[in-house]
Amino acid sequence: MALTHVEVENDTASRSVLLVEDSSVTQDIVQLVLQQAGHRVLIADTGEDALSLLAAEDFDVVLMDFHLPDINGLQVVQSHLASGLNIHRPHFIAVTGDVRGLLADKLNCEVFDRIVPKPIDIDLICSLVETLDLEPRKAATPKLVARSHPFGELPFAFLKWPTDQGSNLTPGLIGFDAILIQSTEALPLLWQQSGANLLPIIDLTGTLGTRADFDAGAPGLDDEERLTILVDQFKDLHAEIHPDIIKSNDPADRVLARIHLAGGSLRPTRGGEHRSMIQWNTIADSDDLETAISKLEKEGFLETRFFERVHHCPKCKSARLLIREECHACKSANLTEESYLHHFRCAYQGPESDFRQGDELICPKCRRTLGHFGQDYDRPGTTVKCNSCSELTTEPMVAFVCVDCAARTSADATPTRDVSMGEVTEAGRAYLKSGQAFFGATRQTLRFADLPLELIIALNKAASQFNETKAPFVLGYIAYDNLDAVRSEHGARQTAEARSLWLENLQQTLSGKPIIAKGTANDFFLVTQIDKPEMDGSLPQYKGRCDASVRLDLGARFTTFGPKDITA
Amino acid sequence: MSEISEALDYLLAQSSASFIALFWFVFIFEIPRYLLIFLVTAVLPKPRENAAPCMERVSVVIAGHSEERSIEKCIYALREQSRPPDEIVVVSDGSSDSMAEKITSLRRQGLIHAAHSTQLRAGKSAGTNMAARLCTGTIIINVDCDCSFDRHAIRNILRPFADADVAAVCGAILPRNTHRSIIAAFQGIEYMISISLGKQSSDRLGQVTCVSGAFGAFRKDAFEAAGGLDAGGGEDLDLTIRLRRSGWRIRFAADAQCYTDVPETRAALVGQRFRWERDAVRLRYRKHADMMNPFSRRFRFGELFHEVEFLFFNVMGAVMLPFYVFWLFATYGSFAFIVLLAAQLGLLVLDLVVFLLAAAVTPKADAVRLFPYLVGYSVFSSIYMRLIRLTAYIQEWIFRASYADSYVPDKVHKVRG
Repeated sequence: MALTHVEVENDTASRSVLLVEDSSVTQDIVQLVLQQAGHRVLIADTGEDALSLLAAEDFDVVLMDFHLPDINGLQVVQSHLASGLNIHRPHFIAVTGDVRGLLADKLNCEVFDRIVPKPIDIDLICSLVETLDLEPRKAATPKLVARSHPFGELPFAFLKWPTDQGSNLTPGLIGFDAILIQSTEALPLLWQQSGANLLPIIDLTGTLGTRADFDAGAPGLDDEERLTILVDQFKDLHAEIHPDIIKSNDPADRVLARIHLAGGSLRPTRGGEHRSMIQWNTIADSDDLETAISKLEKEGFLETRFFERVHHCPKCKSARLLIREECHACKSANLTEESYLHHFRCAYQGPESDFRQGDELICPKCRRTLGHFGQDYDRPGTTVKCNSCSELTTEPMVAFVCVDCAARTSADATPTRDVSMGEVTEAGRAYLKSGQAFFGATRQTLRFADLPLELIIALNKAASQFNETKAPFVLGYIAYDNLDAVRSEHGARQTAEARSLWLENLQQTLSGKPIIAKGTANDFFLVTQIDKPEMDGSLPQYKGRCDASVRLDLGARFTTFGPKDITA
Repeated sequence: MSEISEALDYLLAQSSASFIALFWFVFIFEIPRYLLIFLVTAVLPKPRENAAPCMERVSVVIAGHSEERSIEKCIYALREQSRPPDEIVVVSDGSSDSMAEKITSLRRQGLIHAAHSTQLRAGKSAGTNMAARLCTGTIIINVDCDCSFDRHAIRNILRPFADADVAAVCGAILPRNTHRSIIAAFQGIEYMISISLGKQSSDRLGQVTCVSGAFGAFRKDAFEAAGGLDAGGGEDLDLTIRLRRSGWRIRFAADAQCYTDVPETRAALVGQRFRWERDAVRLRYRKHADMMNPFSRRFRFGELFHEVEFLFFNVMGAVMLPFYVFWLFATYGSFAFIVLLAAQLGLLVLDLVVFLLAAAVTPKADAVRLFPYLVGYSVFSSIYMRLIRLTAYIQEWIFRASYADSYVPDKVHKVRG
């Protein structure tokens, strides 16, 4: 036992993985990638196979497709745990296309350590396998005491913060529709949570103001309706965002996605909660935002407009400054206003305190008593007297004292910074849609890095077959020229549906055994046993058939590549 | 023509005694004065000043009423000094323009140390007193807003304070705008002769009687002990007399050069001189009349000297002029014109000599450019200015006009009577 433990410690990178998956394509991909990374992968096609493998040996990680041909993933894990063979309990990771459905059942949350959405993100699987804590662990006992909230009736999965903090949140918070803020503590931690930038923030506390997308502090009659619209808006816009950006950890990318989802503008308001004295319409920290905004502005993704100039402490950068009038000489704020008195007879003129003796006014120069205002004396003006050092001044100095670090700065030496509001630009939206490809000079041409993984695997196979048997193949690249126009007219979801339908039709139309791969901006197909000229000849005909079956005109366009184009 | 030659013949035929009898006015009221100035300046040695730098704390105090346009230039001239003042305190005395804002911004820029503003005008005296009350120096330099200064003006005005008996030093003042009108050019010559040269000779005799409010320096303790400036006009003359009578020495610093704008029109000049002359007689012969009383406890010959000098040359000289002209015409009929012309020619010669002397001791003055105006100046000073003086004295003696000067606010006149 001790020996095993040492082995594990010495070779933390190598894990034994059981993949329970009925799709051979997925099996191939996951196996290929994980083995490349040095892990041992065994495959089970069905739930029964999985149970027997689990009984036969110990695994570190079990990747469990939820929907299996015989029994579902939950039952597999339950029967394994019930069999009493779980001395070494592996990490169970559910892989499912229906994260929301799975999350809805509390039992799932207790049984699975992680839930990963389909289609499979191979990078995510890889990193999960490598980073999971290998210590034997008890079944997760989430402290999810479902606190009642006003939106229990809605068909949405809510992340409750901070109640759900620390439980097994899906990576990227996939499957959640919105975040319910129960308490404002640990908000910075929430923002750091990957995916938190993509969900609407529902404020149950009623204290977040513009920082939340929805104020549920005081219940209103149409709350549910408004919330549904909001969640839908986020989903619609979310569908347009390129996975590069959804997965990105770059603060600027996260902010840009957040602004886009929340309606396209980043709006500051004045508020004293944060030391910057500025509150944004996001829970992101003000300090982080400033760097992100300037980066986005430089790249042309955000158009900024001046909002406010804020004085801040030169020492600690806090904008929480006390403004005070103070004495030039001793910097004390202990000032009082006083009149000048002018004694007409002897031309003495000075502050009233020079004259004051009890309730009499006596001229300090000629010792006469000033008896009659307007006849003996008048008050030609006022001055400000420092009670600490007796200095007189007409105009006291203005200075700032930092509330946070107590540093004192004179008004003219206090540095300022400009706060701007931002709007996502056309370029920003294009970047959100096309991801890193946006920066490529040739956006519409084929880039291998853009190809979906399953296509690369298939392409490799086809290429090696071509090398062996000269069996030809054609790789097709489908660009949709009208995608943006259709999307703005009919919405992201309808567009996505139309595109799927169009692709499905293409799959049925193409002869042979076509492999269709969905990309983000473009889609791809791979057909074996056919050469390029032949394919090019029949493509217009195929396109006509596909177009006819779809109501929306996506403006699909093909570019084809034969074996020589690719190996060249 | 024949009358002129007759008159000339008559003049040339006079013996010296009868010549003096004919020109008695010139011999009594003009020649002694010229002679005095000439002799004193030429014979008495120039006082040697201590060249050691002044270690006192020096505060410049400026009180101005609606001087928004000139204050800035004045401050820049002060900042340019080889011995810059340690402190500049400016009081805007109930200005109706934006002088208050101007001095506030100067203070913000750090060009001056204190800026005080009042909303009601209190007058030059009260404004200056307040500035003096608020400053921290041991030497107070009082300047006018419309003045500018040579680079060494402050260094030089401070030098006489090396003598602990000196309470006040008067700076040298020259007009800046002599090219603007003939009246201003005449004053250019007048300032050269009466201020530069005249005060240098008074200084050698210990007879400086007025430390000008435009540019003067005071020891603060003496200034305070004397109560500062008094209400009413001519406050600079009044303070100087009071300091003198308390036993202090008053000096003139000929090389502490200051420039100011003088009136460019006759009306402005007349207004200014009326005010000066009225204040002078009021202060000398009403307020400080006991300087002439040998039985007064505070009687001093030094004070009597300048009182009598002023009474004789300024007052009597002006009063006797009409009598002299009248006597001339009564006695000599149409010959009187020629006699007056001859007298004027004689004066011109004297003026030329004094002008050259003044030019020699006042290198800063533009003597060459002013020289052509000398003929006109001779008439201007001997007749025109005398008539102005005479009018002012009559106004003051009979109508006590100085008690209604607009230079002093009405509220002050009311209590000072």
